[in-house]
Amino acid sequence: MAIIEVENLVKEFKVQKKKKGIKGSLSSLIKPERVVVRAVDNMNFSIKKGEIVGYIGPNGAGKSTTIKMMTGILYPTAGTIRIDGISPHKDRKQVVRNIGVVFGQRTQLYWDLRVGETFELLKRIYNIDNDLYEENINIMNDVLDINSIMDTPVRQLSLGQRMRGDLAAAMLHSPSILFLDEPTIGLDIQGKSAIRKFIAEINRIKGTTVILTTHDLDDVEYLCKRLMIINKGKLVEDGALQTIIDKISPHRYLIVDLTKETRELKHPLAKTVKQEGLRFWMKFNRSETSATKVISELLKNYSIKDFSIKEPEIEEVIREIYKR
Amino acid sequence: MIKGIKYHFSVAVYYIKLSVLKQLEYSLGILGTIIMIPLIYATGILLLYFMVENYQALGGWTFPQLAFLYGLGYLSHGFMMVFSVQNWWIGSYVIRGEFDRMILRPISVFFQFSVRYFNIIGLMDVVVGITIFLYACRLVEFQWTLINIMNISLIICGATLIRSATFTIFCSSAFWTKRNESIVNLLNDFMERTTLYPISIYPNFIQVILTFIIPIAFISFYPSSYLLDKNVGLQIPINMALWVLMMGLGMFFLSKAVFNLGLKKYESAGS
Amino acid sequence: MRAYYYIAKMKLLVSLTYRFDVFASFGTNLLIIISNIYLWKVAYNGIDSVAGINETQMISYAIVSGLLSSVFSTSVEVTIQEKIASGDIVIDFFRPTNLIAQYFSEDVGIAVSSLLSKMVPLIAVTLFLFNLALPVNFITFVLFIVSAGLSFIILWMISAIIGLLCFWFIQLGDFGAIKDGIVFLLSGRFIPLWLFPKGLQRVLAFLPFQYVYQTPLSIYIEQTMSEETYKAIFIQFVWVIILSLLLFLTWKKAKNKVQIQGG
Repeated sequence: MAIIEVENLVKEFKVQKKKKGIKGSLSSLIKPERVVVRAVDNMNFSIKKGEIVGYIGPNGAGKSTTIKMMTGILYPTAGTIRIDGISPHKDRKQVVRNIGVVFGQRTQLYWDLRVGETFELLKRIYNIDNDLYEENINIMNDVLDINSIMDTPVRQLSLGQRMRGDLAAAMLHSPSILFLDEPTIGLDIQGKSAIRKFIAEINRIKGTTVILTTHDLDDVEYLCKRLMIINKGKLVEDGALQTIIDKISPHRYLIVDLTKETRELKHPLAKTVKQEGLRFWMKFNRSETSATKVISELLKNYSIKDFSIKEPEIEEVIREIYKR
Repeated sequence: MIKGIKYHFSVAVYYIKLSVLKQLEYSLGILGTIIMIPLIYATGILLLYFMVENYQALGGWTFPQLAFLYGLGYLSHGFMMVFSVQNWWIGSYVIRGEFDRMILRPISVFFQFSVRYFNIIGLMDVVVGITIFLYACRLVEFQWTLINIMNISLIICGATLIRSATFTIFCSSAFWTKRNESIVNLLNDFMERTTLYPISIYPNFIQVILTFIIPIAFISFYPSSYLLDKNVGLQIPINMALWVLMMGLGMFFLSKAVFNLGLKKYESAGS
Repeated sequence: MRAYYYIAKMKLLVSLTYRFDVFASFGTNLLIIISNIYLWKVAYNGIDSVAGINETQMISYAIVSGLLSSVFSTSVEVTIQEKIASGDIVIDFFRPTNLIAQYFSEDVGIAVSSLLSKMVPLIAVTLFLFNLALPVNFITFVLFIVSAGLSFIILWMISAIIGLLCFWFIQLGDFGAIKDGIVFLLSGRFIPLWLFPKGLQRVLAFLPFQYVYQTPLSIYIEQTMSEETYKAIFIQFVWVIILSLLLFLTWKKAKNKVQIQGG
């Protein structure tokens, strides 16, 4: 059952081109030159209830623009978005009642006041009845230890604590969809781990659908069975993480340790990409050959002390995709 | 319907509570402003006194009458500063993406924007305004009958609404220009000169603009003339106080429309 | 010297790029001039002259006051306040450049840009729409310019000192607003001081404020030359010297405070 449906989504911006120098600024004042930029170019996808989807792309690819359109902050130029069957453009209040949004770099908590004060405000805005409110606070306490920061002024919180506060605030009204925009940015390992555990837990307990924008690929590896990659306004990859990796980077690495100095390690289907003393890194295409085949060939001609197989780095794959 | 009003009321109250708490956290650093601005307005009256003393009643308005007009005008200014000063920051809100968070909540953005800030500093203006007004009332021997009390209340409500709405309308330009400062200064000075002094000193065409195009004359001039029994050549079919309130409400709805128009622009162009 | 000229020029260019702000600022100044004119017209209705000044003179007073105030704004107190708040002031103190000269150049740059973008159009408008009367003779005009220049310096120095006071009174907030308020009331900008009670006038004669607006304005509108004029300009010079000393002392004290407390 698709909870988010996006069809032929387009977003265009009119941007003013600034010209150089004094003459340029003067002419910009009189006759500004406007260029149309396509930030989102015909995107199509649908997300099922309960999925945790990773949404990645280089800066300026159109990630936050798409998120803003899905959450009703921006209007699409063309195309449709349906959140649980409703268009956020046409029925804003209905849609936002059911979603939670966390921006990694901005907080919705009142900076100078206790965390609890913002919660009380949200309770009234979302019209959450007392029982549900209590229940959700308890869940937040189990998963995020929220009671320990309830009475602390937000400006005294560490980044990790503030993020916990924002996540709890976003979940107070039991939204069925959670949009997280770079929730682990700037956090230390412990902090990131806590956030990831939260996302996994909330998805498990409440079946919350999660759209996670991030630059941290560990987030993706840990949480997302499905990955959407956006570049230059287009959806370039959409599917299970492993499938994408296999598709883009069918290479494997063989790390070979030799017993004695050798100038080069030769194999018709495996290329040496790096060499450090007695250790060689060899790259081969999985569709052409296999690790066992390469090793058995090499064993014939070289004295090998040890070897290991290395999967392509997810980072490398992503970088490859961004380059296109 | 009742549920809706109760809901909005409880949200508004809580917004105001948080706003006040937030300002109390920062009680330092505003002493200068808190003393000076009302003091400047208080001496504005003094300067009028010197003018009348050395010259004559200005345009037929004696000093007590001028003080009455001044006090009434200043009062509605004070209330506007308390309840709707956030209009001045629309540009800053646009740039910082503050409206995003409001759009994400299941309640009217205009409503959130209107109730989110209760300006404590503005209370100084209200206090000084009340003082000047009551003092002037004594000078003109104003009769505090029940009808007059009702009149004053309606006039102040209407006048405050007219002021706030005017600012909202002009400051909504920030949705397009992203800058507020110069238009706020211009509008502030404009309002000061047209609500603290009788507009009868200005040529006719200006009075016409202030009556029929932007109803600023209804903030203090016409109400004062009415209450002081001065004939200013404008015939109103019903009680002036009711008329002022109606103008206020009309301006209010207009400002809501303009604000929402600006919000639409924000939602199509981003920030 | 070239550096200061460059600083002034940069400020000028920057402030000219915000044309809407410039237009709105022009509008504000024009508004104030117009409303003051009508106020004085109505005050003089049927009266010939008060304290020896007739309606034409008073209206000129009001107009030229507005013209001067379009240029007489300073940013130095705000700059200093902000730098103190951010801590940058420490860095500035120990630079080899003369900070006071730098801030002054900045404000001169802004003043020149205001002159071009606001005062000139204001002069054009008031000259044609409101019959701005010109000074009675050329010498008066020159003296007016000299006096106005001194007024700017006096105002600037007061602002700079106020800005530095922030070092000791940072909790009290916006001193600049207080200064602006006092200048507005006691400088003769709106109401000429000869309308104030005699007692107050005597006190004000010992303060620098009336020499910011009242003095050049009185020179502008006067019909006959008198030694009063030269006396007033002389007092302005005296105030420039007094304020320079005060500024210098305050500056030294502020620098000492920084060195002891470490910013």
